[in-house]
Amino acid sequence: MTFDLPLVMAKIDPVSHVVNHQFWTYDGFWIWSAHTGNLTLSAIICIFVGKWAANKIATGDECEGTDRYVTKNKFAHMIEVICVYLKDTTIKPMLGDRTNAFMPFLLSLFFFILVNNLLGLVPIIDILHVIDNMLGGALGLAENHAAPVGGTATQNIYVTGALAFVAFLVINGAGISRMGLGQYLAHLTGGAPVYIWPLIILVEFMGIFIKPVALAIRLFANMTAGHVLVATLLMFVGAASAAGIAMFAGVGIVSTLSVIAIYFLELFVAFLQAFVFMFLTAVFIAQLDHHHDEEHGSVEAAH
Amino acid sequence: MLTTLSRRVALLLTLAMLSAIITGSAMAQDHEKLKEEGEQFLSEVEGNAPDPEHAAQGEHAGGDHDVHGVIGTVKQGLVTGITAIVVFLIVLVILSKAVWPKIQAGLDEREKKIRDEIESAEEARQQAKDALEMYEKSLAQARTEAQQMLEDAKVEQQKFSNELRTKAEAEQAARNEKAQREIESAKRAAVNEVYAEAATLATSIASKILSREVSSDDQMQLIEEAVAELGSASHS
Repeated sequence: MTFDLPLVMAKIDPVSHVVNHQFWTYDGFWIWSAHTGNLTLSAIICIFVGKWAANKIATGDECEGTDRYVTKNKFAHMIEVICVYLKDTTIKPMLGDRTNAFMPFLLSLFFFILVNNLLGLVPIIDILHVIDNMLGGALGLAENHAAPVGGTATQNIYVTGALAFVAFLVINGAGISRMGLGQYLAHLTGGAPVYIWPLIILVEFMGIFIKPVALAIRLFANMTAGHVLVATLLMFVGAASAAGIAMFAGVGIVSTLSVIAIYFLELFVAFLQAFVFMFLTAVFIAQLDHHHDEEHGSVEAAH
Repeated sequence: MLTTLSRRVALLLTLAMLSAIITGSAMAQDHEKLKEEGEQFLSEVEGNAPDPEHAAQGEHAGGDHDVHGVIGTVKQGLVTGITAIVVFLIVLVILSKAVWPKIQAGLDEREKKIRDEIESAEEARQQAKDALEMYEKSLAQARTEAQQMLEDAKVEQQKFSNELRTKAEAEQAARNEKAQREIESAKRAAVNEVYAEAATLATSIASKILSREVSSDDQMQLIEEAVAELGSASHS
């Protein structure tokens, strides 16, 4: 059979490069996968960088004089600016008196997703597989399509679903504790006349679940799309290598430059999607309040 | 600056090219294997219709390179999802305990410090303004007082000098009057003395000339004549 590029491309699926990689399975369940590793790694980064930044931002010793009120590091200053921006322009206008109660959750959510998104831009799995290939497959990673760490955890629908599930609990828990169960249920009628209650209640009830599902799908799809594009562009290099050195060089240069451009876009998307997830969670929390209509109106007016 | 930037860009591009070549060669290594699989896949396609479930399930044992769906199976994702919740909750708890309160406290303290500083600066400014106003007021008052004092002094002086002048004039007048009186009495005394002397003299002269006892009537007549002569003589 002759060399059939489209068919081979169908097999060298770019998606296979961006999905999760197993590492340790038990009875078919992926107990430890690349995404598990990345989640753990990002947690470690969040905690250590967070603590470091907190120490830099916090008020220093008396002996420092006026300087003790100044953030001591540029990177910590950047984190501080993000925190202040999110609090003052996003969380506070929407949540008002509940700002301090929800800020830790919302900021943690933002930074956790952000670190995961950014880690996804580091080609950890590819580096591991290249090393494995250099060692002649001694690690058995490339051969088994396995990796202990790497990939993009927020590109895994189960991970985004899990985060959306937490957001779902917080959104509705906050709503019930704010309005009381009776009013929370009454809110399902949307203030509509009784004769369209069956319809409204159905729609509102579905909405409760659709909101977090949309959160999960949005993050998953946005992260996946960009990474598939990057994988596809790089895959052209691999495919072109079979067609001689001239093709390899030409396609290689174009693909590499494109990938660099897409990477800048992906950096932006990493921040944007972390923000959107956090922002919409805050919006949904704010919607389940006593003055639902006014609150909603002000949020819309603010944007 | 520009050279640093262009050097960085060149470095970045070199690194990117290098990584692309490494990735490409890694893929090229797999290429033969994949080509075989592709052919195998083709024969499968030719043999029977593709099994979507087969394509979706990527967790076949060991080194199976089956195409994964973008969405993994439940077996692939369940534990990862649970891990995500657990890991996120750990992050949430630790950040909520150790990081956010600290950052918040730092920011609040800084805000408070700045606010306090501004307030105290404003207070100080107000104080300075008050002090200046008070100073200006007291200065104006002092000036008025000084003016008043000066004027008072002038009036006093005027009064005093007037008094002095009046007193001096009165004294002068009294002294003049006294002198006049003394002159007058001295004149009178002198006249009386001259009168008596002249009477005695005239009497003796007359007695000598007449060598007779002049009666008292004659004597009186003679005296008056002599006095009249003397008077005309002194007046001439």
